[in-house]
Order: sequence, then structure tokens, then C-alpha cells
Amino acid sequence: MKALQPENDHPLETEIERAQVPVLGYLVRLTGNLADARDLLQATNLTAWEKRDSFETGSNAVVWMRTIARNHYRNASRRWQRRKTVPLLDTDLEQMIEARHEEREQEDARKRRLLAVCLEKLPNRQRDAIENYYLSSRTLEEIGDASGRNPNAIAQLLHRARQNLIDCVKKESHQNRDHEIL
Amino acid sequence: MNDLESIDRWLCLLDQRPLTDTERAEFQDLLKRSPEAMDRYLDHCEMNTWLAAGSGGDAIQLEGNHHPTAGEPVSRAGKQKLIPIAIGTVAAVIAISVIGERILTKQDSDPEISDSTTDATTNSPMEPKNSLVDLAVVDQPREKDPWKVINATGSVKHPGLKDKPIPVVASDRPVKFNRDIRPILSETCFHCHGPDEHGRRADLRLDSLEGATADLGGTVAIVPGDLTKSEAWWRIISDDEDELMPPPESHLVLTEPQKQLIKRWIEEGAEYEGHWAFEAPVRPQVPSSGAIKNEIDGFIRARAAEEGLTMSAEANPRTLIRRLSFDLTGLPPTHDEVFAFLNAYENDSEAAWQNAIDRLLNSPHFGERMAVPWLDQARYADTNGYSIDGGRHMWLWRDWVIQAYNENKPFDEFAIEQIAGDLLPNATPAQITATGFNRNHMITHEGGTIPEENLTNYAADRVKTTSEVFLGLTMACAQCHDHKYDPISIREYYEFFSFFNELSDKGNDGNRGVNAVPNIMAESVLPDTELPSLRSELAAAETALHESEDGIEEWLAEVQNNEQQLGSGFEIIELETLDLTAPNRPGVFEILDDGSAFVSEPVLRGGMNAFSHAFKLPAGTPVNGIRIRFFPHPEDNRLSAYEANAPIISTVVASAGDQEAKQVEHYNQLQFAHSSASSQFETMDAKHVLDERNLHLWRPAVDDKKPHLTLTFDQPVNPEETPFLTVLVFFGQNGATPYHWRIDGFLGTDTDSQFTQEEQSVLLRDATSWSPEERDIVRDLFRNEAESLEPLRIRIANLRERIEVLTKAHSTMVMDTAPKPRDTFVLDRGQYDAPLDKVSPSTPATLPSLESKEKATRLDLAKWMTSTENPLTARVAVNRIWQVFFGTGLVATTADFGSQGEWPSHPELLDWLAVEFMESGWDQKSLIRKIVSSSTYRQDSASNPEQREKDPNNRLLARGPRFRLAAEFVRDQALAKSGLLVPRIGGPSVQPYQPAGLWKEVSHFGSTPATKQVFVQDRGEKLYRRSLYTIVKRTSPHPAMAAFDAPNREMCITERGVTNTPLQALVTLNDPQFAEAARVFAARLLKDSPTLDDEQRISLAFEKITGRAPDSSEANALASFLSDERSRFQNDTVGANALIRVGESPADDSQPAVEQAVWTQISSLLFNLSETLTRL
Repeated sequence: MKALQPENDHPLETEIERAQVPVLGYLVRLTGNLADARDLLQATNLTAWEKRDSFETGSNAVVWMRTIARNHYRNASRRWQRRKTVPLLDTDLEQMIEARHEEREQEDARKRRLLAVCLEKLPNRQRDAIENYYLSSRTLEEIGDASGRNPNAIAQLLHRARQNLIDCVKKESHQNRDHEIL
Repeated sequence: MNDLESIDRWLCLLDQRPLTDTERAEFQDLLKRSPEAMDRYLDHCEMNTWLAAGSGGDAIQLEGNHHPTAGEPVSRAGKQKLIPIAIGTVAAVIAISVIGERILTKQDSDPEISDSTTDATTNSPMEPKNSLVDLAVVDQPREKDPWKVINATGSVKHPGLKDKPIPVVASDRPVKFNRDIRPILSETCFHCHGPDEHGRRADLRLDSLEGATADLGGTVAIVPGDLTKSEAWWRIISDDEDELMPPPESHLVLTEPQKQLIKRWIEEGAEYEGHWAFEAPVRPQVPSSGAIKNEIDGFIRARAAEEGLTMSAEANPRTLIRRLSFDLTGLPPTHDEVFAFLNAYENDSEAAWQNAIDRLLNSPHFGERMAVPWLDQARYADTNGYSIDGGRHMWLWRDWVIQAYNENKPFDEFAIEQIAGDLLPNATPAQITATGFNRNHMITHEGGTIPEENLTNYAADRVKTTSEVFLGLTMACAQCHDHKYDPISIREYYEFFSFFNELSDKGNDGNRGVNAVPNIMAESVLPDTELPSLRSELAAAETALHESEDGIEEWLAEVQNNEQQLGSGFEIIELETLDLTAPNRPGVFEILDDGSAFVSEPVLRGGMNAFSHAFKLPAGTPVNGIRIRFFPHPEDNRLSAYEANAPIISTVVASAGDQEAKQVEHYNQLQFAHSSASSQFETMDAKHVLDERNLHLWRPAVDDKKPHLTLTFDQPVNPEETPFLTVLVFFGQNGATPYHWRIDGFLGTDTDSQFTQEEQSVLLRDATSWSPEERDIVRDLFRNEAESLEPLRIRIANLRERIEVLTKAHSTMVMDTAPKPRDTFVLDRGQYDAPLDKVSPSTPATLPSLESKEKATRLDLAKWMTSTENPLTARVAVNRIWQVFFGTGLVATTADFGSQGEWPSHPELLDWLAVEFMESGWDQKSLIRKIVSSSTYRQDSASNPEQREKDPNNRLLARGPRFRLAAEFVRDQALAKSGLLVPRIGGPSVQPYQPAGLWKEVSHFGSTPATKQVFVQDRGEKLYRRSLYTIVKRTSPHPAMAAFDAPNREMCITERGVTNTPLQALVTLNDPQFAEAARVFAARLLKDSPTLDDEQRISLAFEKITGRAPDSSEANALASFLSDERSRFQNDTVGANALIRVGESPADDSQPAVEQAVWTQISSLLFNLSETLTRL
């Protein structure tokens, strides 16, 4: 039977693997930024692995991991603030965001396919910043130091780059849809 | 900042650090409130996720048997087994490969991340920064529309700085901050780096030296004298859109000349100056330059000389007298006045000019002319505005303004009385009337609006108007936040606001044509010198009417014939009911099977309703009218559920067409010849339903249990052509709606008489059998009813009204102080329901302080405004008066002397005039005399190529000003030249010709007791009054006025637009007012010049209208047009007769119709000449 199992040792390993993007997405929505989301994803993965025996096979791993992620996020928010305080989102808002996210999800899959086209269209410096931040996982400070600009400028640069990508993906998506209709 | 800008800001911040509690609350609030922001947030979250996932940069660390425990640090670079993040789509793989490839190629050449100066893909040469300085100025890094129109605020629409640019000064003149730099910084920088603390970005403020030179963590925005150390400069010339200032998304662009100026200014030491308009004017030395008429010319000549411009010669005297007449009275000179001036001018031009000034300044029309711009500023109107826009009465205030100008009331008194006349010791009714200035704002009584919010809006309007009109300050900008450009905080705004928040006005008031409180009854301030002649004229007219017998036989024959014919061939024609609707809420109603209308459950309160009925006429004979029959309720036998127990109708309107229409077509209404009813209650006569206003009503007699109302069309309605009939019936007061009625058509003649039974019985008998009393009854009927006597009756009514205007007290809205004045609070974001700190009345700290021992009052404010210490009031006032005579102020932004305002074209002249004005005792006529006496004013307005090149907008006044006449004066000229003008001053506004449907289109016609919902044209002399008396209904401006840019008076306007559109020609050619003026002018011309031949008469007509003789080509063109028109009308006498009967003034039948028509065309053409519509 072991031979039938592919590369992964534990059945949960594949499940965790599949849950990475949805959970990361969830954490980004909770924290509003990638750096924190990444840290929390790491911690979530660890906890998931530790508690792998409590996972009921056949249940939804994404939902399970989201619960773990949410706890980490709550703990972390307290730590970050260094005082007793509420997290970035309150429960109402979190629900609103998740509800809206689900509404949007279907469209998102098609849009994501267009990302490659749009990355090509980015101005060089914006694409460089994206590479540095997302691919090389550099911090804002690191990127800023290397180019002699402050982290705020880099954050704005990244923000503009993302906005360009968002706009571009939307535009391409509309155009594609038009073709489909034709 | 809009929601998207806000969320962008938060997203950038979240990338850098956690939010504070306050920030988080704002952030959450934004997401909850704004779906737009929410989507933007999710867009970025998702993009973050995709990019992170796609990059593979994150990995899960899992290793064989070793599982790090919670406390163990997780190392990204560790040699654990990596599970790459799941990749969902093929495209994402491509994304990775694209990035990967780029990274590889990139890293070969440049291991460091990119920097704009080394980015090989940009075109800018890789040079050290220093050498880029000049290149950046020369290069156009971005191409943007140079005619940008978006102001940073997006709200108040000032003319852009480039709208009427003052010619650029010689390039070697030292840069001056206030003149050259502040306007640039204000327009492009202050929005984020100005006085508003809350909106300030990057902690940088550029409106003060201190702020601009502050060290912001190693960078300094402006280092005086050192361009390369000035961060602001680098940001301005950056080709990196992330660094560029102003940022691309602001859509603000600095032009190259602006950049050059900033560069020079920094290089020359970046000297700041206090804002010029906030420093008191000091009388400057008058430059002496050659022969000048007065001081004005000294300043103007000196400035023009700087630009190498020489002044133009004096205009010819014909032009001069026309210019002066229009400028001082808004009316053209008469033919005789032109000739008198020409003769005098030939003798002694200066004396002639001064005498003409004297004569015109003393004309009662001077006050009318000066009132026009003042009414614009004071947003004077005859209706309340907002949705219902019902009538109000503020003409006493308007007449106060006219009289104040005519009396030459010093400007300080003029201002004090309008701001605080009610607070003056022993205030006179006239002084209290003057305070109507700040009650001219719009007022609503609409149900469902919030009184507190309305009151806040009213006070805000008073602040906006008062500050713009008297102080040239855009204080309104500080209603929701600190002013972005000027030193006025939101707190100071509300301190100023509280002066105007203490009166006893109500938040929902002004219905039924009754002035909103506070109001007073006062008499007109106009001189009553015309009273004796009015009274004798009235007496004569009344006698004429009372003794009139002319035409009584014809009238009687017709009336008797009608009475005998009553009911002949009468037959009810049932209509097919297609639809029944009501715009208001009458309760439950339905169409019964027989097509009648039935209100089964009327509302308990109310009962004032309109019902629109859609019918189809049966095929067959045309119907002559409609009959509305009312039936008792089957259960309680009552006609209505209300106290009156009867239908009460204010009006009935109808239209017919070839398509089904649920609503009456107001531009195509059927006309009714007359109305009658089965009975009437007291004086509630059936004829009242023909008047569409809600003033009088029809109601049947109490014992009439089956009443009906009959309306006869003036033309039968033919079902073959227009089978669809729509009838709107107004039950025009509360408790007026009946239970059950039906509407039918009829054939033959109405069965009911329009006369009472007594009258009818007399009329039906032979005249020989009448007793003396019966004879009197018939004579009275003739005098009251006969169409031929209508003009006389109208004249009598108008004369009586005019006498009442001058002798009786009338209502007018005023300011007062409530017994318990409202407290004023700073309102968070300007929201009426978000009070913060309580404040008391005060003025902005940046201006001289307000003197008051106790709590400051409006009177203290008015005195503060007109104190000679106040740097603004006199400058603003003289600038506005200057604008009247030159088209543009010395400061083009006449309502904004703040940072966003324009630097004056002639700052020294402005100050000189302001000081002179104050020292003269704020004497407006003397200031005006000074202006029109100058040789600057008297110059020829023709321009040469050099002038057009150097100074296209004539800001330097090296030639005379010329502009199109104001809307009012275009019409006044036609009236004056034709002799139709009735030059009475003041009184209630009038309703001359206009398309009848306009008001109904926008009003609550029929469903509100508010007045001015339906336009009923005036008759007689009121058709020919000056245009400033034409009624201003805010939601439906008079088309002829609107076409020529008269504002709708919804808010304070200090500068009118001047447009040229084809609509204007349609007005001056086709508006009955203008067509009538042309034909009356033509009839007079023919009458007054019987001996002239065509050529001579053309010349005379031309000269009468334009003030000069035609040249030969003009005369030839007119002669050829004349012969064309003559042959046209000789073959169209019907057309000719129609043309000479346009309008209500009687046609002159002593002249041949064809000749009148031909000359009407000539006159119309002359009235339409550009030269005629322009004040040269």
C-alpha cells in the first residue's frame, strides 16, 4: 500500500500542501499585509503538523487549517500590539470580508490566469520590486536600503505595482470575456 | 481624500507597521462603509496572495521525522524538506518562469535591485544627478493636457489660473513670491502640503518658510539658494512616477514655465511673503507717465509699458456714449441722446463726457444697472428653491438695493445695513429690510427633510455668501475641514457661522407663498414721485371703463345668441377609460366597470389631490368638450368623505394625441373656450378652473347633489386624428377630493350658462323690456366680461397694483436675533448632527481682531468688515466695481482673494483705489466716476495683432474693454429701442412671455399649496418691464435669461460666464419678446419717416439701433435683404399679418402689413447684429 502513496509520507501532507494558497489568502485578508501572513502561515503549518493526528481524514483541511490560522492570528495580534487589544479586523468586518471574498472567488480564478500577461506589462522598476519582495522575500527595509529610499516609498511602489496588476487583470479579463461572447 | 485613496494609504501603511487603535477604528469604519474600499482591499489581498504563491518564495518546512516544536525558531534558509506551495494554474507557472527569467538576466548584470538612474530600459541618459537639473526643465517628461481643469479641491470652480492669464513679465524681473510662486504652490501643492493639518502628507507644509525648510529626517524640501539640496525640486523634476510631485494620480501638472519660476525662486533665495490680501492696503505712489486723465491711467500705462504695449486712442464719441450708457444704466442711449452728445463732444469733449457721466449717474436706471451684479451675488430670487420651489416675496429688499445705489449710499453703510441693519440703534424698517440680503438663500419646507440640517445649510449659505461677497474669502471650504489653502480653521469657520446661526428662522418653513419667518411688513423705499400720475391715470382708466359702451351691441348680440343656443344638439359621448393615476396619496381608488373613478378609501387627512385620466375617444364625430359628473357614495349618499361634502376643483388641464398618454402633455395642451357648472357655491365660480393657479376654485352649491362641471374646447377634438385624450383634474385644497366621478365628452353646445340665473333671465329677454336696474346689470356684465375691454381692465389692475406697491406695507424676509439663540458647535466634517466643541461668534485670527466688549454680534461683525483696518473689504468692493466696467477684475477671481486667488494684474492700482475708496467715505458713485473718467476706460476697444499676441485677454488694458451685453441688457435694449419699455422701477417681479409648460415640467403642479408652480403670463405693461424684474424661479430660469448666461440664483455668483451659443440667436430672432420689439420698432420707423426712401430708412434704422451709420457694404447687404423680404411678403400677406401681430401690443394697422413685415425683418436683423449685442 505504501507504494501507492506518492511522494508524501503522511496523507495530511498533501492536504496541507493544497491548503497553502487558500490559507495564505485568508491570512492576508486578516492582516492586510503579506509579511505577517507569511509568518502566520509558517506557524499554522507547524501547528497543523503537530496536531496532524487530530485531523479527521475526509474532513476539509482548509477549514481545519483556517481555524488554526485564526488562533495564531489572534495570539499574534496581541503580541504585536504589546498590549491587550483587538486585532485589525473585528468579527463583523471579518465576516463581511469573507462573504465578499466568496462572492468574488469564481471570477478570481480566471483573473489569476491572466497575471502572467500583466506582469510582463509592468514598468521595470515595479516588476523588480515585485520580484524582490515576493520572489526573493526581501523586506521593505532591505529593498529600500539597496535603492536608497525609505520603506514607505517602497511600500508605495509595491502598492502601485499591485494596483497596476489588478487593473490590468481586470481589463484583460473583460477583453477575454468579450472574445468569449463573440 | 476619497475612499479609494484612503484604503490605498492604509494598505501601504499595513505593509510597514501595525495600526494604532485610532487608525484601526478608522480603517474598519472605512471597510464597513465603503464597498468600493472593500473591493480594493480584497484586490490587494488577493494579488498579494497570488504573487506570494506564484513566487514559491514561501515554503512549508517539513522534514522526515524531525518536526520543529513551537518554540523552535523556523529558518527559511534551513535545509528542511521543502514542500513548494501548491500552484493552481498553468498561468501561474508561466508567471514564475517569467519572473525567474528576468531575475536571471538581471542578476547577471546587476545583482542589486534596480534604481531609476541605472535602469537600462529608460531613455534618460545615465548621468550624475546634477546635470539632470537643466535637462529635466527642458524635457517634457509627461505629456498632459495643458488645459487641465481639475482643481485640487474639485469643489469651488474658480477660473483656472490660465483662463485669463496676465502676460508674463520680462524674464529678468526678480521673482516675487506672492505674484509668481504662491499661485503655483497653492494650485499644485497646498492641497496636501498646506494649512490643513489633517490632510497634510509627509508632515510637510509648503505655505510657510518654516515648514518648507524644516528638516524631515535628513531631507529638506526647500533649501533657499541651493537647488540641488532642495528635495522639493528633485521631486518636481523626477521622471519616476513614484517620486514625482505633484503625484500623477492628482492630475495636477506643473508646466515648464512654472517649473522655471520655482527654480529661479529657490535659486534667488526662496523668499516667502505674507499673503498680500491679508495685509492692509497702503496708498502707493502714482506712476507718472505722460498725459493722463487721472491716477488710474498712471498705473495702467506704467504696467503696459513694462510689456512694451502702448495705450490705444480714445474711442469715437458714438461708441463712447453707447458704452457709458450701457455701463451706467444698462440701457442704450436714445437717438437724441447720441446726437446731443455728439454736438457737445465736438465743442468740448471733456465737458461733454463729464456731463454725460453726471446725467447717467443721476438716472434712476443707474440703481437698476448696479443692482444686477449685486442680485447675482446676493442670490436674489422669487422662489424658495429646492424641490418644491414655491414663491417668496423679497422684492422689497431688491428695491432697497436699487434705491441704495441711486442714493449713493456709502458702501460701508450699504454693507452694515445688509449684514446687521436690524441691530442698528432705532433701526428703521428700511434698515431691517436690508438684512434680507442673508435671507435670500434657498429655503425648503419639504416634508421629510430634517429641520436642523436645513438650518445648518441656511447658515452655511450665509457664511459662504457673506465671506465671498464682502471679504473675497472662500470660507465655505472650511465647513468640513481646515481650509486647504487659506489660514482658516474649521473652528474659525464655525465661529463665523455662529453670527448667522442666531436668528429665529425655522427649519421647515415658507409654504403657500408665505414668507418664511422671520419676516416683517414694510413699505417700499422707492420714491413715490409717480403716485400723482398713477392716480390720475387710474382714475381716467376707471372712468373710461365705467362709461364704456363701445361695442356693447355686438357683445350683447353674441351673448344672447349663445344663451339661446345652450344645449342645442348636446349629447354625452362616453369615453373608454384606459388609466387613472394620482401623483399624491389620495387613498384607495379604482376604475369601476362603467369607466368611472371611485375613491373607495379616501385618506382621512389631506384630500388635496390631482387625478390624471387617460381616455380613448370613440370613432365618429369630433367632441366639443368634456363634462365631469359627480355621484354620491352608494352607502352614505355623500359626495365626499370630507367636511365640504362636495368636489372642489382648482383647475382642469387636458391634451389629446395619437398615442395613449398617462400624463397631460404640457407643451401641447388643449385650450378651453369656457367653462360652466350645474351650480356654484357662493363666489366659487366655474370660470376659476380655467386659471391654472391654485388661487380660486369651483365648488357646487350645497344642495346640488348631482353636480357637474363642463369645459368646452376652443377647437373640437377629432377622434380620427387624436383619439387619445388625457385629462388632469385638480382637487386643489384639503378635503376637496370626491368619492365618485366620471368624465365624458359631449357633442353640441353646453347646456349650462356662464351667467347666474338672474343675469341669464335678463339676457334672454329683449332689451326693450329691461328695467333701469336690469340695464345696469347688462352694462356691468359687458364691462367686466367683454373681450374688447380686456386691455383696459388689465391696465386698471396693473395701475392699482402699482399704487399698492408704493403705498402699502408688504412682507419681506429679514434677519433677527432669536430670544434664545441657537448654540453653535464645530460640526465634525460639517455634519449637522455631529457637534464637537461649542464656539462663540468671532472672526478668523489671520485678519485684524474683532472689537467687542461682550459677546460679538452681527453688528460688530459688520463694523469689523467695514473698518479701514480690514485689508479685504475695500479691495474686494473696488475690484467688483472694476469688473463691472472692464469685464474682468484687477483680481480675476473676484470671490477669492485667498491663496487660490489670482495675483492682481495691477496690485498697486488695486491698493490705490481701495485706499481712495475708503478715504472718500466709501463713495461708490465717486469711484465709478473716477473709473469712467479715465482715459483707460475711454480707449478704443479694437485690438491690433500685437495686442492680441501679447495680451489676448486684455488684462493690461492697452485697449478698451469690450464684452457681450448681460442677458438683462440684451432684452432691455430691444424693449428700449422699440419704445415698448415701461421704465417703472421696482415692485414685484413680473412674468413676461415664456413657454407655458416650463414650470409645470419641474414643479409640483397641482399637488402642493405652494405658489409659483404654474406659469401664468402677465399682461399689459408688465410684459415690458426691465429684465431685472423678470421673475427668477430657481428651478426654471427664464430661457432668454439663461441663454445669455444669467445665473439661476441658487447660490452666490460673483462672475457670470460669457458664452456665445446658437441658442442666443434663436432667442433674439424668435422669442416673442424680441419679435414683438422688432415689429413695433418697424411700425414706428415707418410712421416716423414717411418721406424717406429705402436707402435712407435703412440708414436711419441702423443708426437708431447701433448708434452709427452703416457703411456702404452694410447698407447694400441690407438693401438686398430688404428687396428679398419684400418680394417674399408680397406673396404672403397672411404671413405678413401674422408677423406684425406677434406679442400683445396692438398692431398698427395704419401702415401696410407687407411693409411692416418687411421692415420687421430688417429690424430683427439689426437687433441680432453682433455689434448690437456687444458693448464696444
